[in-house]
Amino acid sequence: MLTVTDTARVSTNTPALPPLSPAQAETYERLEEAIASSPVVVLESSVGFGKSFLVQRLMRQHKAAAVTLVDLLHSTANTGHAGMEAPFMALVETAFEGADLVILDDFDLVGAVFSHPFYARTKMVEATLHALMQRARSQNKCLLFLGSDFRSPYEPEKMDFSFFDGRMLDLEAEHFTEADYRFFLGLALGEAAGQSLPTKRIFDYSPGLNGHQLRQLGALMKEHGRSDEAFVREMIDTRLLITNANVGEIADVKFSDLKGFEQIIADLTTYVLNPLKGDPRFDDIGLAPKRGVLLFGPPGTGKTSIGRALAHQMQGKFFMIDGTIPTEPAKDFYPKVQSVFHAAKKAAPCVLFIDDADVLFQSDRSTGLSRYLLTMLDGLESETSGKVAVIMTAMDPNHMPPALLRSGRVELWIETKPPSESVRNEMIAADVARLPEAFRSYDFNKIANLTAGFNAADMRRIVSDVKALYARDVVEGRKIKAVDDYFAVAAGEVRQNKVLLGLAEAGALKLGQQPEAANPPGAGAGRTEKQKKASRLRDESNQCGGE
Amino acid sequence: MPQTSAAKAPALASNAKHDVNLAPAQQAALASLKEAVRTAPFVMMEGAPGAGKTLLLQRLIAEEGGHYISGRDITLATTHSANTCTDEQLHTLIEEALSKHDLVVIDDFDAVTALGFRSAGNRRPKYLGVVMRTLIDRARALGKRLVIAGESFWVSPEYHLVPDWQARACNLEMPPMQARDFAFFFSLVLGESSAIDADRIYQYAPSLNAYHLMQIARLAQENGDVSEAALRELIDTRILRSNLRGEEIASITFDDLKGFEGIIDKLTTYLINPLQQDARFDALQLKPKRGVLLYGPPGTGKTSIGRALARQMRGKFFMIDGTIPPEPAAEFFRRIKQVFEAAKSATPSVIFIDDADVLFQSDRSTSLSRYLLTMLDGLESATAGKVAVIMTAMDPNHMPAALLRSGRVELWLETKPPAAATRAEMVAAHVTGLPGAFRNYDAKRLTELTEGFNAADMRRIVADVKALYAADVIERREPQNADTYFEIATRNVRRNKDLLSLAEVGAFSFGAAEASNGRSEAEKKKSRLRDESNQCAGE
Repeated sequence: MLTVTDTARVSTNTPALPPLSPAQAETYERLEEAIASSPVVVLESSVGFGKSFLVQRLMRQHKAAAVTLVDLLHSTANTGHAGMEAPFMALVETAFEGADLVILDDFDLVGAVFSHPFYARTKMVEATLHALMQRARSQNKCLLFLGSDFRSPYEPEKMDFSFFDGRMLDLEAEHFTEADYRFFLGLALGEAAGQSLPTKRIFDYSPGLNGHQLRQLGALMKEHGRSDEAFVREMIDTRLLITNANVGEIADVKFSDLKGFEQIIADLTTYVLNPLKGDPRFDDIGLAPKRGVLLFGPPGTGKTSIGRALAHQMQGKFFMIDGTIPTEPAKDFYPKVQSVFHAAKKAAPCVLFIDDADVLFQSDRSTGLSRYLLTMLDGLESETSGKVAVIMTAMDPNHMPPALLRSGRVELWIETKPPSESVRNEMIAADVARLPEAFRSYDFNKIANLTAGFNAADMRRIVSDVKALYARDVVEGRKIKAVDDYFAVAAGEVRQNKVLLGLAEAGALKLGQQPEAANPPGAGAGRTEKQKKASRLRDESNQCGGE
Repeated sequence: MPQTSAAKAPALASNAKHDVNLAPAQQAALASLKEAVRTAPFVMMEGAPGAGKTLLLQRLIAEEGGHYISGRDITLATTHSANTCTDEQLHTLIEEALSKHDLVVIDDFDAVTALGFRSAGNRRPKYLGVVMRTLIDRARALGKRLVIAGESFWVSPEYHLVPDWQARACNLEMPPMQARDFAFFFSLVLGESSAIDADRIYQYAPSLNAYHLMQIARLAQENGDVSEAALRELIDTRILRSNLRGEEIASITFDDLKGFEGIIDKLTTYLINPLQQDARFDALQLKPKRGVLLYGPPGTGKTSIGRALARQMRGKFFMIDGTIPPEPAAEFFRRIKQVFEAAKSATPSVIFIDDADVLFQSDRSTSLSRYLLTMLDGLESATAGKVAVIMTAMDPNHMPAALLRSGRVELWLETKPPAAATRAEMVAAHVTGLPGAFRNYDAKRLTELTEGFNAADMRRIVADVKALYAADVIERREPQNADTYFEIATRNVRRNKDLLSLAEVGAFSFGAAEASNGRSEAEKKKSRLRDESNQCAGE
């Protein structure tokens, strides 16, 4: 029982067709040309382009029949076995009976089933499609496939129509421009309102929005009676864009919380954030963000903190690749990374943050991976609207793949450094600011030398340890010591940990030969010379060992 | 995992009336949900189990009208007829609902995605994509609303369809619960005058869901004790579940560990005290050390410390050990992530990675150390930040350089072979409770004999002494005095150690066992000579 939607013989009093947006109209024209000249036409458009409006128009203008997804679902129901080719072929053949043009809409989804490796008769459909093409050719008819992302990066095994072997016309839909944005928002808010909207600003802010998103944006503007730029940006960031970062899981850090980062923040703002914002004052200059940024520096110097602050500032325009995407197995890794790149492109201009990139590149598949990333970065560059700033962090830039560095794709090198003495003092002051008075009466000079070379994480750790030591003495009913004593113990322990990890990293940590871990209060200072020597030794052995 | 930031930071004041039957977090979620169905034809809502999705969906239907499709409806609709046509049956079910109602809500949609993506018997994978596209387009064309809700739509590794739906949807996520939500659920059971200090409980276990909270309140009511200590006990023993079985946890307490005073003191100061959330230190905001490395030669008590911690932490202790096989990789990471997710839902909590150095030497090391880097202080670690990770290593030099260099191992604790006094204490502890004959031994002599022995060796000696005594009794031989047994046991253990050190360097040869039962230099030399002659004569 086949039900083919056939509206070729429509009566003249049917309602007027809905208008098309400029990009849709342009695509429609090219589609008409293609149908007239080829037995098979494939039109690929991105999600939410509005193909169904084009289909509607074609149905009105031609002797056409459409095979819809609903038709397919009905024809395969109760078949009792997995094979779907025969009902599919019967549907298309019936459609050909009374029509010159057969339209297969949303064929990306159908093709995904037919070509899936777990499908009972994988790729059998190619024979079916080939037969249907022959029929269209011999009868001078046309078979039109429509779908979004046929060449989707998500699925390597996806149907690619190569079996048509050049006997088809392959079209790609136009991209939306500001004019399309005005069109869609006008649909939701009325044409008059559409004209007065800051569509240029909205388009610059997020040129990758699709038709669904634009209509929802219009509905939100109507619902809240607001159309100012700030509101629109907020709606885009929090309701429309889908980032792979869970902002709620990212510790709330503001740039102003970062001590001693003035220059780094200034650089990021000048070369990345300002250009990404799309300020109308610079429309005629055409600001472009730096595409590749390498944030490098020793551990604990604030690279991840910068990422956190960026995430909160960029919201829906912040994407990331971090350790939660395992490089094994490769068949899972690559699609996942690809989907992040894909989503970032759609949300451009935006930031893609690759945390611990040097560690990522040291994985087993590093060669393949760096070639792959190079290509993906190229892909971002070639995209006309692709203002995706890729920010990578590295503990050691020497471990970054030379090809990536040599390619010049890293346009901005930013080094994070261990804090100076005065910044270290500021850090402690900020950390103890909200603690009881007793903790604030410390004398930094007593630990200034002891903390030489310490990074931001170390300084945070010291304050944390001071609190823990104090709490222990309270819990166990011991005598409470002076705050400076706690600070000295904590600083001494952090330094000792650094020595141990340096030795272990160099493979030189001997069991049973380390000084007793317990560090009596006040004794910390006396130990530093020995520890300095150990740390120097460690540094040297590191350098010898480094590639 | 893709997340949408939608509804995480409600930007707009909700004009919803104060709703006495919903927790504050649920009221905010309902307001977002209502706004979503007013402005979008298709809505996807994610929320953890127990966040109250079903309640909200039913509330939405009650207020706006519409049709609610439950897991039961889906089960019944897809049960009959040929199993290849599940997708079509699902389509019919929802399609019919859409033709009759302006708003259709599908609960437990994860079950549907699992059916469409993962079910091994599905011979038409991804046909669900066709079904959903049809329904979304149908809702849009008819001006109707379709809402799907579930725990998470992200079904790895089939990433393809979900982003496609999300691009067509208004995406919502249930906001996390706060202390005031805790107070709300307690008062649902105990009434407005509930004496429970919700702030303290929220601090102790912020990830509890509504079911947990009401269960706690009911248990406390039944026991007639709503003190903070009683509630903590309930949370630890009835609500949170470690991935360790009870009998594995019960064996050791910190008091049983001899010679570990320094290590226990550090663990208490930097880990256990901060995890206790003692109200006296609220102003200090104590935070436990995140990365702890327990390292030392085999048998020096690393795993015992883990067991004692497990006993202390109970439901807040999670273990990653050799029972998680490293192959296949996808399964390995799924299990590792599972443990981390469980620990995150029981924060503040502890994950104990036993023999981490061995684990890191596997092929999976890069992925695993990257994952740990992220969990220990990555971008997305607000919740993971309350999970302390303790790793044990026989040889810290084998730990991945990136992990060490990152500085995210904050506490280094070395376990050492026990000192003479500790060895004596260990034997004394082991023989406590045994008949008097066993306790009558020359402790000083034994301590000399066991120079360099570790805790496991000392346990073995006492076990051997008992076995030797039992053998003599069974064979009707005259039982010897304790010192003789101890001497034989000590010799056996030492011989084992010699053999294993030979095997370890690949120098083990058959027959060497007889030769190396003594400790003297002469004997060792003899054994070496013998080894050489063995090799000359080797076949």
